[in-house]
Amino acid sequence: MSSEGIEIHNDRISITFHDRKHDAITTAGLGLVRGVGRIEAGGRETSFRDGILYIRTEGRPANFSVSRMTYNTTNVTAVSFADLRSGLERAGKSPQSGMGEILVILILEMDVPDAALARAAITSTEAITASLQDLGLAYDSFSASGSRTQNLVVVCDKGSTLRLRGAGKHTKLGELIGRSTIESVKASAELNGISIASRRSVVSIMASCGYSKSDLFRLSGCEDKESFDQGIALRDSDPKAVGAVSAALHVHNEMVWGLMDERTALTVASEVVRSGLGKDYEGPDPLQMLAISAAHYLAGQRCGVPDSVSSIFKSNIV
Amino acid sequence: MITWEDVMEVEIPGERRLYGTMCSGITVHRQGRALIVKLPNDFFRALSSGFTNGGFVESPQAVMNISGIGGKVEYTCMVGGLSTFDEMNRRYASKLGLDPMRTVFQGTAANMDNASVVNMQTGSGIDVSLAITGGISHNGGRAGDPTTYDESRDTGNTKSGTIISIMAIDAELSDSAMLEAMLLATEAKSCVIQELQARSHYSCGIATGSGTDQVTIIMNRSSPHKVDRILKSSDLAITIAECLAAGLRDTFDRQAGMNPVTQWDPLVLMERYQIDMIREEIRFPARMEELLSSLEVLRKDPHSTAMVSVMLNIADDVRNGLIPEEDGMELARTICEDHVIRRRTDPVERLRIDNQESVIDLLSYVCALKLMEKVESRRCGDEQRGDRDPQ
Repeated sequence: MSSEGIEIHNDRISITFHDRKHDAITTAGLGLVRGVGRIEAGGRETSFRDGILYIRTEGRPANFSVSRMTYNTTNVTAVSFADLRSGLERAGKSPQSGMGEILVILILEMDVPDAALARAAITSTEAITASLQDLGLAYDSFSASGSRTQNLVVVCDKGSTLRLRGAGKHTKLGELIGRSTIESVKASAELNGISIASRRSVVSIMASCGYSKSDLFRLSGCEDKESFDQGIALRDSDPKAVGAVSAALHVHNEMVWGLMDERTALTVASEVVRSGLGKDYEGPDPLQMLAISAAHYLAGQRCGVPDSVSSIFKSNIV
Repeated sequence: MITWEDVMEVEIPGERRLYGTMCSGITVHRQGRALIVKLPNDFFRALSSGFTNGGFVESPQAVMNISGIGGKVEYTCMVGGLSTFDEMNRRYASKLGLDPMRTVFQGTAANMDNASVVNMQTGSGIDVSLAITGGISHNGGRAGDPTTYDESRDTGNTKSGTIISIMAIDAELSDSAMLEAMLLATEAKSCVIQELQARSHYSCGIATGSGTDQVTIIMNRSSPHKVDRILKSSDLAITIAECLAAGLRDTFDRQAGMNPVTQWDPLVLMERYQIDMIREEIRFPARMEELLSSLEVLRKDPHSTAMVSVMLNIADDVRNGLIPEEDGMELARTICEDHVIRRRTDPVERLRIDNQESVIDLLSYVCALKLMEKVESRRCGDEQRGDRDPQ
């Protein structure tokens, strides 16, 4: 797929192929469609008419991202939209509310059988999950594996002289599918306001496990909201604090996953918090301990927290 | 050298026996190297990502999961490329009395006696069943990992280890819904692997699957239930994920002994970053027997294991760009000296602790110091202090 075939309009993104010898498999209500000459992702209802595959999306065309990967004669392009600000989901759990959405249109520039179209969709789905894991996205303390609104379209070129059958991760084709999906999903997510940089925040990490800023304010014991906000401005993105909160949350997850018993989890999470935030506060379980400690850390001295977080932290890193 | 054809010629598949039952009257059988998911009539349709007879298949007679022969002879089927693989599968189906053109094939290194069969039902009464085999101890991979197998040039090879999922849903699914079910099962698979912290063998990441996973979804046209889309918030989506998770956890344990207990081992966790030179970090003033027995004590210590996991999480956050390396190092160093090992005053140890190049290097060195501390504490018979020696 040369880049000239992809056009971004105000109301849609269109992908035009040089002929109608393209097949596609899609989750968007259509299944397998043959003879695709163009794909349009935008406001029109999902349908297939006159060789045009319409995919309904709420995504702003300008916030799509394109990633093309090549190895020898194997070429793959992923055209993705990823709004990860809400609507996250973990398989087997009720999804988060919100209008978040992931759409990946994967263009394989070779002929593959229908089974490989399905296998490519599997590889791309794993790549979406990997992207969300890399970004540390979670809701209600569930690590996200996808979005509640998630659609995938995989297209292949039946007219190509190159025919491949394998699209699993062990093949070069699978590697390109994985890499292009991850790159485009993360790039589009960034255009929509979510990136690893936006995750460098104690408040953001705590929000992903169900503690809003106002919850943290309440837990901090601070009576002055303005002072609390000043504390956040000062400490929220401290890398060591971010790393410690992330690590303590990981301990909580490993307890929930059955790897670690609750007593060990609480002990270790408290120790991590003590070293990273300067002081840990008592809580009945690792998550509540983390929330109370993070709230007090953010509040700092301004709110009259008994022990000075910053001074304790300094004493720990002598 | 003998070939797959020689082996297949002489092998005796034995009697077919019932192994389990699935929804919609589907039965699961064991025969020879195969697990046979037998469909009771022509009202079924399948979507398979497997190589042989994959894609959408109308009225299949059976879906088959076949163990490889093993050893070098297994790879003789690859000499002629995937067409030889197809021929091998079809010939085996014929040998077992199945129609090779109406059988959907999947293949793996796992033994079919380790297959797990799970049956669940949604709140609205839709039955969901799964027959699954899996092992990723040697072939776990994360999407996007580097690989060497370029099918266009027929280069490279693959390691054994595959998750084969055969899922039946007692509903008439649209083609789109069949694909959605396949991808929901895929997401659930990645979640189980994350929950076991099972590593990729091709990067430092947690695996999202194996390199060669295959899924078949079977729907029933004669069911009173009709499903056009499977929304992620639906009861069916959640049941599909729960069914996959239950079966995969069970079969991982059966096939590879992989479970939360065996995974909760610092050496297993550290394999992800290839931390395997701990014994070379310092020239231990200890006998091998002391080192090995102390290492076994530490491996069983939940606190030590949890601390290793914390260090790996910090390394992951550095690798993903969440925190800068130097801050990750400082945090890791503080945690280790506060809670894992004694605070060090020896100038050489101090120099080395303060000047490691990465969190992973620091972890490797701290593990060596911790191991020596354990040897010393056991020499003193000071086991009352437990396995932890903070400060």
